Amino acid sequence: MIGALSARPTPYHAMSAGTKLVMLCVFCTTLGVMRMVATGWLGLGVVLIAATVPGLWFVRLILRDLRGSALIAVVIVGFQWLSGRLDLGLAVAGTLLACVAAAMMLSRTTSPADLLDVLDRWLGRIGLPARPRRRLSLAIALTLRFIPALSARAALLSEAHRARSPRRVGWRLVGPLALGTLDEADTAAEALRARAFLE
Amino acid sequence: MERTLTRIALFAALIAALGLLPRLTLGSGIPLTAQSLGIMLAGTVLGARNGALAVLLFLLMVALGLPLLAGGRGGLGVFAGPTLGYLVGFPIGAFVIGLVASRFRHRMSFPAALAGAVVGGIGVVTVCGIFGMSAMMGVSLVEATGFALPFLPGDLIKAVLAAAITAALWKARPALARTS
Repeated sequence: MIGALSARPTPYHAMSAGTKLVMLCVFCTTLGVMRMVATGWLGLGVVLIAATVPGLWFVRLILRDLRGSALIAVVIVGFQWLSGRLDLGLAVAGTLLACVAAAMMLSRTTSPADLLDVLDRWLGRIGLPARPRRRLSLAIALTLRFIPALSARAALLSEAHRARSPRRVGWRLVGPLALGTLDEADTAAEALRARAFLE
Repeated sequence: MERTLTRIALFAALIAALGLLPRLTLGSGIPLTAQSLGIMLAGTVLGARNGALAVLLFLLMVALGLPLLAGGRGGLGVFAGPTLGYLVGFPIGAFVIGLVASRFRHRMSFPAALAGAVVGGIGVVTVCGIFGMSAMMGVSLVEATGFALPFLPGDLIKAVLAAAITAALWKARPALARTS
């Protein structure tokens, strides 16, 4: 599982996932509660300065992650400016960009497996028994197995449709795709039962 | 238990895979992605509880950093944006879809699935999205409603598609309505 994790190591990769999650939670909650122009943009500045530690390549990576949010921030500022509430627009946009940048820094430096470990540990600490936690891990593993299988099936169905019809396949693919994969899921369930996986 | 687990995982994967389909653009210029169709299908096919669990599983994997949202987005950053309300609304919507559909005699029939998809998949998800946009963007609920309205025609198309696909699945596998 690599997800958004940067393959190039940074000093932040070595920090524990739990610490980073707690820091992110405190950071976003503080900015969200204060929601001021100064704190929002200062928060973004702090995150971008922290991103320079691994090098400029990492700043560029985080800025690329911010592209979609930056567009939304521009819309927010423009809308609030037209409504005569420029201060509010700048505060919301700064907070939004700071929180998204901080969250992406965490995602870029923490593997999904480490985050899952943290989740598992925290769920254990609040008293959730091992069995449902094991089911959750198994469900994630199964989903990861099904995604490429579904994509491959979709490609096959699409190819078969193209060979038989000049019309675009589009949404017509979803029905047969769901049907075929439901059968596949039931086969996987039989295999799990035969191996007493959930006992 | 095994069958329930694999179907929940399958629908989480289906929601992810639908995010890979190319997006259509309505005449109004509003993009239409297939991912919310997957949310609707999870509710209509799996029912209230398991549909909501499939959507929660999908969102957990997005939060873990997997780029599974339409456009290859993922990570905790997506939960800090104005679409937070929609993301929160997805599992609630899937639950309501299943709940509404289960009030009908045949919960996977076209009318049952359509009613569920319209009430849960459009109504509940849009209301959550409006509250989310209002909170995250600092705009009033009326202004946030104005931002959400252009997406409704596309959502209606997806609700009809979800109902048609659900009814087709029910016809092909009648046991599905009993075992889900």
